[in-house]
Parts: sequence; C-alpha cells; structure tokens
Amino acid sequence: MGTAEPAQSSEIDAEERRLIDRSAVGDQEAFRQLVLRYHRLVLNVAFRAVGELSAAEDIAQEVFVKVYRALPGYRHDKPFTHWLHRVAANAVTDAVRKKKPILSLDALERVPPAAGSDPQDVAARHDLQRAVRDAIAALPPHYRDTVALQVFAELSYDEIARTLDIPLGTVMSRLNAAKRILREQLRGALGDEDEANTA
Amino acid sequence: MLSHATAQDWLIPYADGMLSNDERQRIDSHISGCPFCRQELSTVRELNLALVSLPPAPPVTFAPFWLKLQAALPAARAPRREARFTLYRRAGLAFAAAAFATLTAATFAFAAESSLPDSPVYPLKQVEESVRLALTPAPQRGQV
Repeated sequence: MGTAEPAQSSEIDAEERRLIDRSAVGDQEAFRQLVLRYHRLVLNVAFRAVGELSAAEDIAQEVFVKVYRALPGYRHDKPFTHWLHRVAANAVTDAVRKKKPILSLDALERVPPAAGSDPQDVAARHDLQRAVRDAIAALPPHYRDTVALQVFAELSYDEIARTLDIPLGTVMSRLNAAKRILREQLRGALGDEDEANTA
Repeated sequence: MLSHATAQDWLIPYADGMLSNDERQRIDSHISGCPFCRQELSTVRELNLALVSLPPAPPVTFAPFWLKLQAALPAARAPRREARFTLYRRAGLAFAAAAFATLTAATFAFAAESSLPDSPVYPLKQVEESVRLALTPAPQRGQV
C-alpha cells in the first residue's frame, strides 16, 4: 500500500502534466478533462464566497477561461492546484467586491434544512453566512486574498504560504490581523447567534 | 509570565492550532487566570465556526457547464502557429545548408593551384590536394 501510493501519485502527476501541456497548445479535449478534474474545487470556492449557484458558476467559468489563456505560460514550476487556487481566490475576491445586492431571497441557493430543524435557526445561520461574506469582502486586499484561501478554498496555513509564495510568518500575521477585523465586524452577529441558541 | 497584550495577540493563532507546545502552555496558563481573554477566545472560536460554516456548492451537471465554458474559450490558434514555425525553421535550415555548401564549393574553386601559403584559402587547397592524391591510382600520382 505504501509503495503503491507514490507510484499512483506519480502516474496522476504525469497524466495531469500531459493534460496541461496538451491544453496549452489548444487541445480542448485535454482541457475538458482538466476542467472535469477541478471544476468542483473551483465551484466550491466560488459558492462559499457568493452563496448563489448561478453567480458561482459564472465565476468558475471566468476562472477556467483565464487559466486556458494563461496555460501557454505555465512552466510546471509549482503545483497546478496552487496556481488554480490563486486564480480562483483572485476571481472570487473581485466578484465579492463588485457584488450587487441580492434583491430576492429566492436567488439564494439554500441547502435544504435538516428535518426537524428550527426555521429560525436556519434563517439565523443564513444571515450569519451573509454577514461573514460581506465582512470578508470589506477587508483590505492582502487580508482578503489570504482569508479567501483559508475560508473559501479551505487551505491550511502551509498551503496558503506555498500558493501565495510568501513566508508562513506572513500568512500568520495577515490572518491574525484579518480575523481581528472580522471579529469586531461580526461581534454583534456572533453574539446574536449565541443569544438565539440560548433563547 | 505572558503579558496580557501578548496573550491577546496569540489568541487567533492559538485557536487555529498554529502555536508551538510551549506557547500553547503559556496561553493556557494565562487564560486560566484571565476571564477577559477566556471570553475573547470564545469569540474567536465562534468566528472560526462561522467561517467554516460556509457550505460548498450543491451538485451540478458537468456537461452543460463544459458546453458553456467551451463556447467562451478563445479560438484554438496555437497548433497553426506551431506548424508555421516548424515550416519556417525547416526552410531556414535548408537555406543555411545550401548556402554553406555553395560557399564551400566556391572556396574550393578559388583555392587554385597557385595559392600561396599566406593565402587564407591555402589550407583548403592542401585538403583538396590530399583528397585528389588519395583518389588517384598509384601509377598516375607522379603526373598530378
């Protein structure tokens, strides 16, 4: 099992490299297979950021168009996922910055509540999620990009450092400063959530 | 003893699991005696819970996603550009080979028997004579 995993990993890497190189010279079937591998990852990042499926799909489309245009310049000097995460994080932070207000609650793609869950709890949770997104969108750019990779892309501190090509200490200081701002911005929303749960 | 200000700075990386064991122990020791930092840590943990509560996208069908993306992709130009470059490169190499052959033949032609040792083409004349000598049958060599 231990010896099979590195062999499988290197086969996957070689196949991915082939798809990237073929996509870079215009092979759309190769690019389709690359998109198939990663469209869920990019969609999840986008959906966590905007909370609406059609907007998330538009962002994901934009990400893959940018990737396709830039592939001829990709040199395999860092993992493809790091590069993809960076493009996705930039696209979602631009999108949330320019986001128009959602005029209808019907536009929100809500996850069906669990059976027996209190509708007030569900509504409070959605309100908190919207407040979180708005607070992240209002952060200064460096903090916003770093938080986007942790919150929307669910990357660890180490992965964020490698993706942004910055020291781990810089990631820690940015997240520390960003979360201090978020803590103050959301203190009321977090407190209300707490009160709702104890009511 | 950890100062209150330093403890405040460490609460977020503490909640994110980014402190060393020694730092964690120092924070734990401070928190046990500081209700304000205990409350702040609770708020930080609630913030982290709120941040991870953002849900992933619901399932989507790939085919329509790909069709829409494919329509937005730029027209494939790279393969034609690559073929044109290869054609130019081949033509260029052929031209360079022909020019070299022509130059060499012309140089040999100018390397006349009267070329003196101080002439730049004299070494070529020597090569030409060596080749001619090697190809001439032995009985005829005195006549060259």
